[in-house]
Amino acid sequence: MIDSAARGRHEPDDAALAGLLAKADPDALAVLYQRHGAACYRLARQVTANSALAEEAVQEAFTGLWLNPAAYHPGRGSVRSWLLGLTRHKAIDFVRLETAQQRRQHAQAAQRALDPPAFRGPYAAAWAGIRAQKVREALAELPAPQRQALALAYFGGYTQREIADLTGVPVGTVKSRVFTAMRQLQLRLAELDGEAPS
Amino acid sequence: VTGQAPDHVFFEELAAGYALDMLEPAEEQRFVHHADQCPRCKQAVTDYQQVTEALADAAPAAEPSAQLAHRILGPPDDHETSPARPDLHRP
Repeated sequence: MIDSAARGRHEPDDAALAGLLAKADPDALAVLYQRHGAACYRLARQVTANSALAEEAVQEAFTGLWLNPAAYHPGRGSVRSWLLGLTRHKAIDFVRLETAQQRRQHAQAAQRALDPPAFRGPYAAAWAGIRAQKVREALAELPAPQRQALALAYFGGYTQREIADLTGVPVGTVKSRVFTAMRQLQLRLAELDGEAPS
Repeated sequence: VTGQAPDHVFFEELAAGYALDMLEPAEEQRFVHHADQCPRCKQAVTDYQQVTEALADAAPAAEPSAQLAHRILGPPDDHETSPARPDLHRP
């Protein structure tokens, strides 16, 4: 099974696995899928609100990596980040094919995606770990307009101009909301990693 | 404070937008051109990408079907002998 294959190779890290993909090693793809497939699916499911489309997006991301492993450059971030980005792009492509009315419904759902109630109840269990907890706290502390702009950008796939239109504020306001929110979250993560000045 | 500082706040804002893939094309081009020469902005993009990863983890729990793994990796029995056969060319 995939597990034993991974253990047999003393758990190579993601970058090493990406290197093995260049040699068309199918086990490397299997381990990457095992590590990141579910996270990619969750993201795509949130973006598309549709299981079949979400699976399609994940499939395209992983098969894209398999067919063209050279497209991943270690200098541009982690394999996980790259796979999530690819999945998100595919998912957003699907969403952009929707009708205007479907898009509006989607925008409403996306806008609420990072609101605190989502973290209570059944979702909380799936989102374990101190790091995740910190981000959750930081998200909850953000002013709602910042959190919503962030959610529209990340889960809705809207540009800053589209978010300005959707929320009825100037583009400059969207920019500063998103920047302030991202900075705040980044500082929390850095604090956690012991990198932030005290 | 030198004349560079306000510039850099501007580019740092763009770095956050870039990591979220929400910039308009002209702005994105401008940022990429700048970041190419600017280690600080490159670092900012890396930092903000970690934030977007954390946002992905904030998506509600959901599990893909077992069939998805098979479609990506090929039938389970086949892993040892044949590479995955990505099904990218479906009509």
